[in-house]
Amino acid sequence: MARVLKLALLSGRDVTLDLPEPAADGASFIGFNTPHSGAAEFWALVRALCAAAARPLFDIDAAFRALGAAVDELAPEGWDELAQLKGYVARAPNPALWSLTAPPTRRFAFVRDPRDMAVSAYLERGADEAQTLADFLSSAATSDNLLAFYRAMLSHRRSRDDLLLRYEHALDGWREIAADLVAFLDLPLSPNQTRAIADRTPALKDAAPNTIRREATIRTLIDLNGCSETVASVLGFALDGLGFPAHSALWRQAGAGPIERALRRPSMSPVEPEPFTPNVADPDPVLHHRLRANARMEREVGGRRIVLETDAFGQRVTLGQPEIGEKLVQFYGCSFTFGTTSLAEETFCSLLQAKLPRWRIENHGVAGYSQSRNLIALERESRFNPADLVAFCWIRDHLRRNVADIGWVQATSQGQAAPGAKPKVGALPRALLDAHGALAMTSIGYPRPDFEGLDVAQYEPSPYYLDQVCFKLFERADALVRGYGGRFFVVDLHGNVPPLLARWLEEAGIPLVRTVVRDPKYFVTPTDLHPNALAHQVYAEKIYEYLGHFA
Amino acid sequence: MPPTELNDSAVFYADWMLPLSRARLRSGTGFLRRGGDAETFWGPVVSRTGGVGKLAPQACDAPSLLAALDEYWSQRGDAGLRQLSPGLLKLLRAAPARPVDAEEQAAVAEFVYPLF
Repeated sequence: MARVLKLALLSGRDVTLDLPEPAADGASFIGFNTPHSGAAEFWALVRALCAAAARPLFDIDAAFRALGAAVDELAPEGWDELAQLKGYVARAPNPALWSLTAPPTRRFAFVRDPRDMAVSAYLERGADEAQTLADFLSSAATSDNLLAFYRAMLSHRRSRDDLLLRYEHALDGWREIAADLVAFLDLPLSPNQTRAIADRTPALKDAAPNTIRREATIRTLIDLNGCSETVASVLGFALDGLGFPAHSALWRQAGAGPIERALRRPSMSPVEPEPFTPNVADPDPVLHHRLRANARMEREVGGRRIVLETDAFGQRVTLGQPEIGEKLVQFYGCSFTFGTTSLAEETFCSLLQAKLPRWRIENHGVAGYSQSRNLIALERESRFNPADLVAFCWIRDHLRRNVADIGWVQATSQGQAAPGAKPKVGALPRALLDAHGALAMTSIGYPRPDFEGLDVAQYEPSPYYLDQVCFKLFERADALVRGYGGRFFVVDLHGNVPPLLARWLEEAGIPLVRTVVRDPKYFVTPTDLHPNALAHQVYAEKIYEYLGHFA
Repeated sequence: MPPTELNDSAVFYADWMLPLSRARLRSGTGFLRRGGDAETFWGPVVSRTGGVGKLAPQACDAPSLLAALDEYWSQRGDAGLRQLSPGLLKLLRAAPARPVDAEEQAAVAEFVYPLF
């Protein structure tokens, strides 16, 4: 029997909606799509699947429009009533209603990379608006729109009650999405029926954003990432992407941090891996390599010679360092901290030492490291040289390095031995979560040049998992340092810390010092995103500001 | 990589001995002064053993020797070296037992003398 729903509007008048007959089993689903995301095609698919399976579909927005009203006019109790509808596959008119819905209603969302959404919105704006893409991206309206989706999507439960479908997966056809929907909505359709419906659904044809993103300047792309990365992270899209189709080799390049991205750039031939500073490094049975004491090497960066020297303790030389300081501060990190592309006097550690001459600043950065190896190095160091203050310096590459992700192993394994020579395979730590969700550490063999040419895109780890592992590593380091009476903090040097990770740090009381610099003027060369002297100055100033609390 | 492929002694060196040696370097602690020229390298006569240590014949094995070392480090108040004891004992237990060659046991190499 069809159902009638009477709802109060803010104006005081009522609307009466005619609903189709609810499903006999009472199973309830609610779907939502992000704007500029092929809604017409997606809902045509959902409608066709539901019709074939005799599952009632209720398009809330269309029902209101048919009555000359809008959902936004609903009184609060009307929202609650809609959120509790049972027995339908409902189409939510906005993210707010979608996020109001509670189990047992199951939710699905069709989402698109927010950067493409933003560019599509720009392309579809009124013709009379003479606004550049850069202006559009920095406008309050764009920011508010993206924030609204971010808030709604934060309620995404990442459980079997929620299904996230991606626009990018439909670019080559609807079969994959249709199969997921049939399973999720429990529709009694055969694979042949599902495939036929998927093939009849109009294809997505919005290629314009990718074109624009490919043609945009680096500045605009950085703005684009900046305005949408919070949404991207919560939806599981790769951050720092510079406009490539999802799940392609280029997308992996874009989804990586600056180091892996440089390695995957096809124009760079031969591939030059991140230097593991072989002349200043020794093999290590746990960390793969560690810095050698009193070592020296030279390299050319951006047209100038850089001397990389280590001191008697196997650390990058920090100028002006006293033997003993009133406080000892240790900075752990990767090449960004070590200063692979900088002179000793330019590193933020040397600059901080100049600002704090009575303290001892130690640079424990090692090229290629991330939190997993930083933690092991910290455990070693704190046994006999515990510091008052310990910082883990973070860049986006670390998320995948921590778990020794296959894509990272593949990208960095190339070029580590002379052509034709067999590289020496050593152990590389791999952080993971055990059956109880606790941090565990294992190791893998590295490098693996035999991975070259394999398509590893489908083994992309979940960003949520990477955040969790990274947080556990921070948490363990914090506990270790607090355990002996020191203070621990995190510094982000490149690529904003994902919002979830930042929130967990805040909840755990672990300070996060934000020093991120985005502009290309802070890169050592246009193709090498390592920090230049100017970036190190910004790092030093922001960290100094934080350290002032302890002076 | 399976843990069995890791080299225990190299891990022990990297995890414990190297950090300790660097910490001692940092604090200027050393057994032998190996710095630059000095007016004299003469120092007060000290016993490096704290006296002659004794092991009973029935307990004259590596674990007992390690225990004696641990005791000696404890008497000297050397907390750093004492932290090595558990790891050394673990290494010892992990080392494959090597049967002593009877011939090897009987003969004393003539090269023992030039060592002095």
